[in-house]
Amino acid sequence: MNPIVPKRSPLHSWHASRCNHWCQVGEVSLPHHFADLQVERNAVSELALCDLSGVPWCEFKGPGAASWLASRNLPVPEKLYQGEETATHSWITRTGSDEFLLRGVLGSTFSELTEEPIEEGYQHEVLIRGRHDSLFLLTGHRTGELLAQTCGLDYQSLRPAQTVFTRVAGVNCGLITDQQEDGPRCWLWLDPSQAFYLWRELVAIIEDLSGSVVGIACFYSKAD
Amino acid sequence: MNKRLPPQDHHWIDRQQPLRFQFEGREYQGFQGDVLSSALWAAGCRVLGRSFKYHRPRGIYSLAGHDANVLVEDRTRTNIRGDQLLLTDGMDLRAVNTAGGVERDRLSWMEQSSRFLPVGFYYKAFHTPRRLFPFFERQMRKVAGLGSINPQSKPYPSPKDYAFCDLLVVGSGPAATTAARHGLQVMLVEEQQAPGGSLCWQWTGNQQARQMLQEQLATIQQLDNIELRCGTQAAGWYADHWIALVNERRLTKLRARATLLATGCIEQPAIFQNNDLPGVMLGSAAQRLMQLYAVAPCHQAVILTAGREGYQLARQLLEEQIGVAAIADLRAAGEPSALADELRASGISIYSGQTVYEAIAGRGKKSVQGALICPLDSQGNPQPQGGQRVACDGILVSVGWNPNSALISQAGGRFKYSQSLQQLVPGELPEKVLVAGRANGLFELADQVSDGERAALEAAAQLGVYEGPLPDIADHPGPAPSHPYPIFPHPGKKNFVDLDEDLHLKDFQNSHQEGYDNIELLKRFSTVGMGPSQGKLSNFTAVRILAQLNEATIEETGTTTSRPFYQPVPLGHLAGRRFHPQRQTPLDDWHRESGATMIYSGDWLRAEFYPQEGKSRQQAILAEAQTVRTAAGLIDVSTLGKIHVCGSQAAEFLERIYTGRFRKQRLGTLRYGIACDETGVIIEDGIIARLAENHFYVSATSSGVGAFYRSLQRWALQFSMPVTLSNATGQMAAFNLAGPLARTLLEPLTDLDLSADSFPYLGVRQGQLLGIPVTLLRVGFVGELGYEIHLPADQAYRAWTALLEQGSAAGLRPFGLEAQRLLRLEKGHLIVGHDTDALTNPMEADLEWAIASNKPFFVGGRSLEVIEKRPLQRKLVGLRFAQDHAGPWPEECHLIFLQDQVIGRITSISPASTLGVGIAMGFVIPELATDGQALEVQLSDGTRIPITVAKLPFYDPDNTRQSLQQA
Repeated sequence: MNPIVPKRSPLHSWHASRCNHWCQVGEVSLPHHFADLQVERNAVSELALCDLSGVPWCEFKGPGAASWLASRNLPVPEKLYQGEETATHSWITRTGSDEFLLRGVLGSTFSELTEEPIEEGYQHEVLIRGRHDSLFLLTGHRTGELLAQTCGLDYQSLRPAQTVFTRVAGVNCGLITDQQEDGPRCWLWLDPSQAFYLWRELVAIIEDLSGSVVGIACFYSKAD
Repeated sequence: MNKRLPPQDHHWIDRQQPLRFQFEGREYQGFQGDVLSSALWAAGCRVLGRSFKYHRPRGIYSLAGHDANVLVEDRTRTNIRGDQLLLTDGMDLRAVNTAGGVERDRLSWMEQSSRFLPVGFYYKAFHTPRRLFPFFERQMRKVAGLGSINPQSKPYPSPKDYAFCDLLVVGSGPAATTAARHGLQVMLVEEQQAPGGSLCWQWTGNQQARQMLQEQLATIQQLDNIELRCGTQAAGWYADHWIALVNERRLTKLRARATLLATGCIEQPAIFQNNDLPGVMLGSAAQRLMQLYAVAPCHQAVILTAGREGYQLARQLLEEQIGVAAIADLRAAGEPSALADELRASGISIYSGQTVYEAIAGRGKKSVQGALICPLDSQGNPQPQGGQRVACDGILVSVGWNPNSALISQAGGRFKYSQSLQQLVPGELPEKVLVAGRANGLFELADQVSDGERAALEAAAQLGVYEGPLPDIADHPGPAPSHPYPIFPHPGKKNFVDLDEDLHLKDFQNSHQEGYDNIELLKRFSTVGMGPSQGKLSNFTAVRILAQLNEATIEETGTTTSRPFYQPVPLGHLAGRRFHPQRQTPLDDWHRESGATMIYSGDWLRAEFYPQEGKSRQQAILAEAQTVRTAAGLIDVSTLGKIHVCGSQAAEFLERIYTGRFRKQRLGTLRYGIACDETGVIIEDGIIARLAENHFYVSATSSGVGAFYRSLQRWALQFSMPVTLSNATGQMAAFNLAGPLARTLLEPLTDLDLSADSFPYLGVRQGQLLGIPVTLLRVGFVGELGYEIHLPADQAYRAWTALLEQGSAAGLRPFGLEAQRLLRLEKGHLIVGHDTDALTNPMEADLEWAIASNKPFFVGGRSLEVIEKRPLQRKLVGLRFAQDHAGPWPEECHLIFLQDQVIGRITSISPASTLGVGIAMGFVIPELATDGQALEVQLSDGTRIPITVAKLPFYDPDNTRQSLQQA
């Protein structure tokens, strides 16, 4: 029996037809870079799009969710759509009164999401379910322009680390923004079945706006 | 002939950047900053377009986009307004709606037939004999109209976008720029190419105004909180301050917290004979030509005015060395000011209490040769016998204004008629909608600036960022700037009220005579205001005419309703970027690499079948099905809905949703369930797997899962049941491995015991497959020993390829959607939404067995109790074609007949099956739902095919295939 089965980004074929430089990130292979690495690094502050699919996710749902998280010494954000970092640098967001979503860091695996291992299933009034959302990262000071063409959300009004659920190019997405030294960043996550469609639409707009699709080398230090 | 004026700082053109362009096949030169109309006028071109109906020559009239005289097209776009079309090098344009060009339009004879084409003629003429009307309709469409669409043109990208601000300020005149400086996040939009509004063309002689404009523009540039968008029109106001902004490239959906409309006024025309000739234009158009584009409107002007602004215009003309032959002032008292004395002293004849009765046309009505000026009697009627002819090549009309009211009306603002101004002014305004400047009836520069300040403070107060005192709107001092009735009848019937639609004064009188004495009816009958300009110049004149005909006041007469858009918007802008979300399974790459034919199933793209060399589509599908029957097949069913239902009351909840029972369902087992809506109609079916005491895993149809999940959420709330729901549809992949070899192929790859005793039919187990966590469901949708394998989407590709790799030697092959449809049809399994419709209840679908009627409640249960007592209307049955029938074949939805009686329809059909005979499923009336009943199906061409009712299922009626032991 094969003990480790690598994961595959829903954009694998798109990447494969354009990328010769790959990198193993946790359980998934992603493009390290597509063309000129320096050009891609420069694009990060202007407008860039990167596929980070393969990051582990876990959903906690049910009346016992908050107490279960607390019993595992995981933070329990009080307010809806508020997020907090965990001891393992994962990010937990309250997505409903009894719902939480945990996102791992790039390069981590499901078992590394928390200090103690998580068992999937329904127990103690909480449904624990591993998720396989696709994750895209948009960066650069023109991110707002791209979102303005796809999403009826006031991007400028978003507070850092505030989670928003919205529709981007007609696709339901979760969205978090952040401000880094090289400019704003926006994480988008979505159902993997719609990842290819949304990626294709975003790439078309990025090309219109003279932005770039970049590999993970721009964001993932272990990739070097 | 160059009409350019000497350069000045405030001109919008850049003489250092000449541009070449073509109009009607001739080459011209303009400058960067020119619009098409200004460049052509500068080149001495007078006829820039032809009118809609009579093909009369037309030139510049408003130069502000308020008329549609100059409509042109290029190879990709049509009906472009020449007055607003910024020139670019190499443009190649021609006027719309001509036969042979603007100069020699072969359809200019239409004017000769004008007496046969009175208002509304098409409602009355050509209707008998009826069969000829389409012919006349085609002819009318040929000779009247606008531009034509070039179907060969390549669409240009016009992506829509969204924007947000605290305060939208529409218009960038003195009021707007003042208002924009008050600290809020402001979007300032200006439909012209540069900001400043009337400061740019009307107040150019006023040093204070010039300085103010420069200071305000500098401030706007300095302030980060103001975004200025020029060349952008606020094209429509919708609820909650949702405003459509349209520019050359795109439509922006703007959400503002408040809207300040400083849209100014639209100069109104005067109605006299030949008032549409090239050379007759609004005073503001002449000012724009001179002050923005450095173009002389004419050599020798006659000004028709009703206020001081006509005299100011005369002074501007003189400053530009343009002659003013006369001023006809509609007011009996004339202009009692030093300015009038000054102009009189400079040799200009001023005719007080007189009007231009007629513009005297040049050759071919392509220019103005003079003006016939005559006195008005005490009632304002012209007295042509006392008139005199004044030579001129331009008649400039400055008789009054009306607020640019479209957005104000759309926002819910109401207007009242001001006797002191002789124009409409805003009355009641909705919250957070403010009006400032000239639109409020303020014509003095200082008043406009103060009003901008006032409106900005009011906006700030309404948005909660200002608490100080709020000044009142100032009153206009002095006489009314507008004339109450600048409309002068003439027997020549070419005194146009609506230039877009070629409607003249007599048309309105005729409409009124026919009983159209209400403004809304008059509009629809006469089509006034229904052209591309949307009545910016004609609507209020029509109101004045109707008021007089009805002997009513303006307020009694009312106005028509203003609807978006303010100006026509290209359909491409409305379409924007086309977003059509689609869903792909994690195996999409594999299907395509394998050459599968893909089809849409709802939002999903699925493999329909895998073409095989030398085989037709039908043969390939049949071969796939036969592989499943004889060996094993693997199908991607990742599109299936997958929902977790958890909680202490999960079983009870499911019993309320589905027609069946689940409380006593054993762990590790599956049950088939159907769900109905409140009327007892089947809305879903699927498998309900009990994974744990309080944990169910539910499948749903591919296209219905979204709606079904929402309905589960709604019912959970309505029942106040503490159930936890989670939709894992797109997160999980699923394959169905089916066929006699299924167990043999799967066994070595999993840690689960697949033996029939340990994992029987309708069982569910969780374990690992190739190291991947999986849930296996033993189902028989296609009628064979089968395992539905559910696993994480991101690991599915590896599992799928490994399974096929390991099974191919034993005969495992992929099969597509069509083969699955055939196999389940053979097994008599229906597809909800395919074999059922929006009225099908479980009894009709032969699913009574799935209803646990002794339950206290389930959704649709009460309705089913009632339905059960009524006679059945139809029944879903199997249908078999004759063994030797080789086609043609009916299609789904073809009707089933018994003699001449329609007794049902086909819902599913497969011409070829593994049974060697064509089979179908369909609804028939219950009396005929008996095995062996002979019926007929009617094809689209009317021929009929014999068909026989057959007992379902066609294949393996005793379900022996599910009991297969190790193959």
